[in-house]
Amino acid sequence: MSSKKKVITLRSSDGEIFEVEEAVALEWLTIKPLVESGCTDAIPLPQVTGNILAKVIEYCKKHIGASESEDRKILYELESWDADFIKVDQGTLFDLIRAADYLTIKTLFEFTCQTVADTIKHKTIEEVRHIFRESNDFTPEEEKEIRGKSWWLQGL
Amino acid sequence: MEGLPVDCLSEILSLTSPREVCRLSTVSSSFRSAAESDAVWRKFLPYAADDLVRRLADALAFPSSNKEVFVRLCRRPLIFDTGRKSFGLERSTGSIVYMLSARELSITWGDDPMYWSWKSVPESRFAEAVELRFISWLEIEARVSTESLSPHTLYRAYLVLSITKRAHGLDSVPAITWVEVAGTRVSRGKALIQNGCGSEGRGGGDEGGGWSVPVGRDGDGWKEIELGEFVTGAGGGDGVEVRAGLKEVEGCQVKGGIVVEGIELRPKIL
Repeated sequence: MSSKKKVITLRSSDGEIFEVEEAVALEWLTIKPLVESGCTDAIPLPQVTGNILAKVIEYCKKHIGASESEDRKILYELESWDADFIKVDQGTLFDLIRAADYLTIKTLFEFTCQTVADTIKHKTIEEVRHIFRESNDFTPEEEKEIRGKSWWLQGL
Repeated sequence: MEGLPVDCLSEILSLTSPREVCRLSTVSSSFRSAAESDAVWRKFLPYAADDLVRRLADALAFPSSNKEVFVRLCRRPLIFDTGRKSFGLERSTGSIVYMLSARELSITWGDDPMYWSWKSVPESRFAEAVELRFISWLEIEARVSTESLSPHTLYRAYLVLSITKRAHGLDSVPAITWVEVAGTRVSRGKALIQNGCGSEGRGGGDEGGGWSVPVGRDGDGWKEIELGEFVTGAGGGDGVEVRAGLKEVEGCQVKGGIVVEGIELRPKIL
């Protein structure tokens, strides 16, 4: 076995080519079988754009090995790095969630979802609809049912 | 731009709280689907009490969703250990509500029928409660491992009781209340077991002033006296012992006429 780090080539939806270490790509469960099979062609990722893929790679490179560290200093440093990393606009944040979901990257998925969960806590329903690009698509009957029958609103 | 897929919404919702999930289920139909998903409610069922939750899931008519198990545990606690303990969930946070019946408490002279009379009480969730006939040395304490409780949670301990028509000697001298965590006293106070003046709850601060008095409980007809509060740690395997109790031994004062159902530990809702 070669001790030289193996590199995997990825192609984003907009045709950008990225190279990542095999160890990083193995954390992405969706492409793990392809990587393990020794695929040497560029792996197409039709659901992820180049700018988002760059962010995903940046995150995973930073986290590989470091997340499991027990060194408090490293973990503290990682936490503040994460805080800077996630200072992105809402659209990018959602793109990162979609990418992490599509590529099955557990750490990134949990982190980005937690970030959203924290931000919506104090938002009104209208604000949440706006953030998530959701519309009130309930029929008047459903709306009535939600208001009337919801076990929560009704109390347990 | 499109919204997020439902499984992403589920993940996000599962990282909030039961109260938030219910509120957010009114955003849109995708949010509502996500809010109903088993994955979300699995997160709100405590891992620490997995076997209890499974026992309840078995007892409920199958097939039941995790939400159904959750709602059931909020509405009606699960009685276990031969009717001596109960386990439920607080609905807005999903934190564990834990109660020891009188049989699980340490009660001074509790096994002497001259002072304490054990009996089955129809209004009680437990198999037995205990009535104080009369005594001068009143001392009751609960001991619970934090492993049985939710981690990182502010809890309050309550003595759950009823006051009978024969109540006497309970309103002159305040009882001492306490909570200890791993041998360190974290909370202390005073309580009047029978409140003659009709004031409500705990008045004033913990030092000096305010005494706890019995207040009515929601729904079950019993009264409760606050014993103090404490915070649980990280959870996992490193549980420590919590002791919560009440003592009134001053002046050889004879008192009686209460029925003790148990001591409940429940999260304080901020």
